[in-house]
Amino acid sequence: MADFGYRSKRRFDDIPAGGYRLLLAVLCAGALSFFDSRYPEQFQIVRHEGQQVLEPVNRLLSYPQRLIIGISERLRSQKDLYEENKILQAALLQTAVQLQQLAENRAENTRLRALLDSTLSTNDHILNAEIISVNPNPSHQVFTLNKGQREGISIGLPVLDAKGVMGQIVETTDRLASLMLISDNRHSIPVRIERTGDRAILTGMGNSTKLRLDYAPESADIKVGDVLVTSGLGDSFPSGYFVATISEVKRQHGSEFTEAYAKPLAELDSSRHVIVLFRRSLHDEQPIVTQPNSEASYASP
Amino acid sequence: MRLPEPIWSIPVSFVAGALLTIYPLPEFFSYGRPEWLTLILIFWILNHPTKVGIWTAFFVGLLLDFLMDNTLGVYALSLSVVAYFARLSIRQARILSLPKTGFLVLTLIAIGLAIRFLIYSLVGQSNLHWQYWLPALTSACFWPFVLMSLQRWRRSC
Repeated sequence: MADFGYRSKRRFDDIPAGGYRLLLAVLCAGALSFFDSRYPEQFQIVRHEGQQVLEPVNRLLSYPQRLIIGISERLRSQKDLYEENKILQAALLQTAVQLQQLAENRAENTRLRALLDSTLSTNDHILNAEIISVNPNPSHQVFTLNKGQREGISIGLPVLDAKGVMGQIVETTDRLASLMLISDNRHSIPVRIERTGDRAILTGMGNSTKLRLDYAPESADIKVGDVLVTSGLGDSFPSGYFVATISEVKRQHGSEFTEAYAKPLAELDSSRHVIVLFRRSLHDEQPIVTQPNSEASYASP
Repeated sequence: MRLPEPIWSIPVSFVAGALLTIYPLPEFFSYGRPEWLTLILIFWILNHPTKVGIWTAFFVGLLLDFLMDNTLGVYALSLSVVAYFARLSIRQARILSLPKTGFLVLTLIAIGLAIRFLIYSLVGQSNLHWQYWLPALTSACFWPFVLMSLQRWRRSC
């Protein structure tokens, strides 16, 4: 009996809970999270290397889903394909006709800008990419694209789908890139109300059908159904791309700002094929008026 | 009964847990994803406290921070505290039945979620969805599966 008591006592007592170790670990982790949230720029390189190491794993894990999609695309009937082909050809014809008009407008625009002595770069450079995976963190709205630094993608590039702005690139590795949607609650995009030209900032709320319009003055003329386009301020999104439509306006007396919500035009949930827009086309919308003697300095970037 | 020495099974189980953690799921399921790494960590702490302790929890947490693309140190801190409470409750866990260890796991995971909620609020990324607390429930539901798959290294008292 004494022997049993001794053994059970020893079994239980040689397991220290480790209070000092906990204190040290908590201090380390606390310091790390404090510095990471305070100075994210210094930790960017650590993050980048971490994502680069994880890249092969992420690629590997995206394959089952891609295989299912690939197989379901192969297994479509000929009739479906024929009908889709007819619709696509009609759409292509319409788009091509509209493009003819656009080319004419662009040429005219270039001539007018030449008269104004302003430089204009019309080098549209876009890249098709595919969403292959989703970030495991449910509170982040971040997708993974199948193109990366190898294709020239860098941090900050805007991403669009057929209907509007999707978001921007927040992380790149060699062969993958992370796309943060405009609905992520860490994301904001400068916008302009197309009808009136008033400017505001559209912030995500972590909900793919609802965005919040910040800093629209109380007297601003906002109606449900107004279209919001990118304003081009802030250098990350070129101006004039569709972002969202106003879905709800609440005015409260005594409040400095109008409370308004918008619904994204891009299909944030269902779009799989997206377009990455390269920075050079920023200058399409915002000509930089240069003095004749400083022209060389502009041409270099 | 002698327990087989889990030299390889500890890292292998953590890698498997990490893969389950980052496997892409639709948003709806993503909220209810069980915290595999925390479950595996609790398992090893309850059954092999001499091999796995607070520093293991710290580094597993750091790995989770990278996997989830989070503020670094958030998971490291919460998992260290969870590991501490798990070590405190080893004696109780040994005499509990399976459903009751499920409740213990639910409490531990909820403590981890609460600590993270606090840190997120401090660094200004508060998330007020009720779904935020869902992993505590689903993790407790998947606890028997973790026990079954690591059955060989379970301490039988």
